[in-house]
Amino acid sequence: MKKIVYNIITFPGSNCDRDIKWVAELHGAECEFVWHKDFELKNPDVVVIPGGFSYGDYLRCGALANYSNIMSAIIKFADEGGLIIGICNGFQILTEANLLPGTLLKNKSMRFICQHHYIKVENNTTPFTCEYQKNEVIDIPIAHKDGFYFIDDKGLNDLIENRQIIFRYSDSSGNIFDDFNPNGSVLNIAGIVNKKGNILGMMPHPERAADDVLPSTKGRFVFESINKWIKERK
Amino acid sequence: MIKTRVFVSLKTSVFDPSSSVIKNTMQKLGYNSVMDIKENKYYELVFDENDPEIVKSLTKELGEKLLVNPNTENFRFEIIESS
Repeated sequence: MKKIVYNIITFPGSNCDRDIKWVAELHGAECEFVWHKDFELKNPDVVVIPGGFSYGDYLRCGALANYSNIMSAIIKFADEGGLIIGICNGFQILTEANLLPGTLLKNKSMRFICQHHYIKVENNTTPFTCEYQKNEVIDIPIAHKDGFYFIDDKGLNDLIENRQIIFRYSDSSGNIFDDFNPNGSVLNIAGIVNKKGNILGMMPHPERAADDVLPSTKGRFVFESINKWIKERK
Repeated sequence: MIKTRVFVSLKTSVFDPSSSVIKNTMQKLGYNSVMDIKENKYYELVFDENDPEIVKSLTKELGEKLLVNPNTENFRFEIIESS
């Protein structure tokens, strides 16, 4: 059977792009890096926009990356229903490109947060979460200063109605309180999908929790979900 | 040559942690009469154009397209210099 092909977009300042390759290959996929100045993707099944600090976070996080050459091809891929994940800075880029609703603002604490955190899987019927249990709580690293997910009331109602909220910050039992909100995000939101469900943005790093040598391995189910979803449709 | 100045501010509905921290520090320094502070951004753009109407239109376009995130920010601009 033909391998699933990941395209990993790299900007100057991207990080964990190689970790994503490592993890995707552990799950039997083939990976191609795509430089942000390129105009074409390399026949992907999945596009990943990794974390980091593209363009040094100048102007606003993700704002300048949104005008890189490769973005037109990514928008076309999205329109055709292709699967896209934006992790951390990748999430910020997807909101700046209007591929996902809302905005990532500075953390309420104004601090860069680098720690493990629990998140609850709110919707396990997406291409990115179908291998998780319903309401499963996972331990996953976060590392950001601009992770405060903001959206206006109307947008928030749309997210709720369409079941677009995928991950929320919680305690280890899945309780969702302000005390377990690391950055101030509305409704403790850690990850969402677009209305069509083919684009995921998340602040936590699943690729940093997907190898047996690491303290947590629950992030691997994002990659396993993608595998399952694509294989069932190929 | 025409120069414009673009002011960008957060919408009032958006919590601004940076301004909040600055205000707290001012109060800690004893400036208790400071009731509120808003941290804004401004940009100066210099155009190789002589027509103020064209410059206004370009500045507006750049504000909407790049300088501002319309979900969270507002902007206004003015011409500050022409020669």
